[in-house]
Amino acid sequence: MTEEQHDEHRAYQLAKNRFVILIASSIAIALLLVSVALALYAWSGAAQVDLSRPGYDNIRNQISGAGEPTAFPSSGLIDKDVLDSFEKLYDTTATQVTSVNAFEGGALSDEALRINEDPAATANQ
Amino acid sequence: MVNKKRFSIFLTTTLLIGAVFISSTVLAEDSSTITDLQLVQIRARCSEVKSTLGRVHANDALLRVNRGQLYERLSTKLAVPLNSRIAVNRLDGNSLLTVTSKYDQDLNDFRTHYQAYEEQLSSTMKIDCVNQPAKFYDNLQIAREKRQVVYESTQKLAADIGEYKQAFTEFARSYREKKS
Repeated sequence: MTEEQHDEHRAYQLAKNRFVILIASSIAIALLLVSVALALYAWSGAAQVDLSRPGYDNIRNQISGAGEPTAFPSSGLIDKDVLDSFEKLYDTTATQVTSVNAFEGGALSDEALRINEDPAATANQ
Repeated sequence: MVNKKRFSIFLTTTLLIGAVFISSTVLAEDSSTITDLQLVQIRARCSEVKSTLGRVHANDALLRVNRGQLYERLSTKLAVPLNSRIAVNRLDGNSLLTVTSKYDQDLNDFRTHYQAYEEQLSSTMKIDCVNQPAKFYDNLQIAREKRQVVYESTQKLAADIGEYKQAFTEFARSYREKKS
């Protein structure tokens, strides 16, 4: 192999390696970005309110998006009518929020999970 | 001489590892308040218990989303615009601002506490309750405690909502008095 041929071969090898490196680094960067995105998804709390995840199919249609009241305008004069209209909007939403007690402990109690029952009763079931 | 030194180092290390292992085992046993009956029942009803936890988990997620929307709405679409409007009209709405700020802080706490609870419940559900019923129960207890914290957060938010209403009523009363 002459020196010219040798140089040509080296140049070819280098070009070929560059392509492989380009592909490999593209994949590595993509993996890194996906990992960062997934970490942010889990860390930020978005995962907890994401009902598109598997296992939430049955409850997905129960998300209450309807009946959203219009936002109270942040500009304009203040008079008796404006205050009355705000009070009405506020009371409606406040009643929706406070009418039912959420996250009470009963749902995870021994009784709810049925892990404190009489063994005889358990055996009969 | 060298061998003697090596042996003493080995013996000390072994003793230290043993002590750590024993103390961690004792601590683990102490943390578990599970009775033998519960242990048997968790093993026997493992899939049933996990299924119930799964339902609670799904319902809580739904509750979190629906409640979260309402909590956000109260702040961003009602309280904040009113506070801003009061400020633009150069009226005194300091008490409303104070309550809104407290509400926003409590809302952030609610989000954080719910996340911690959800992660705990999810990890509890992954534990093999047939082979590790005590570990499962310990984790369930932690999930209960974290759920209690979430419940307390919702109570704080409810109190804030009431306080804001009171502050608003007071503001409206003083405004009407000035105008009449």
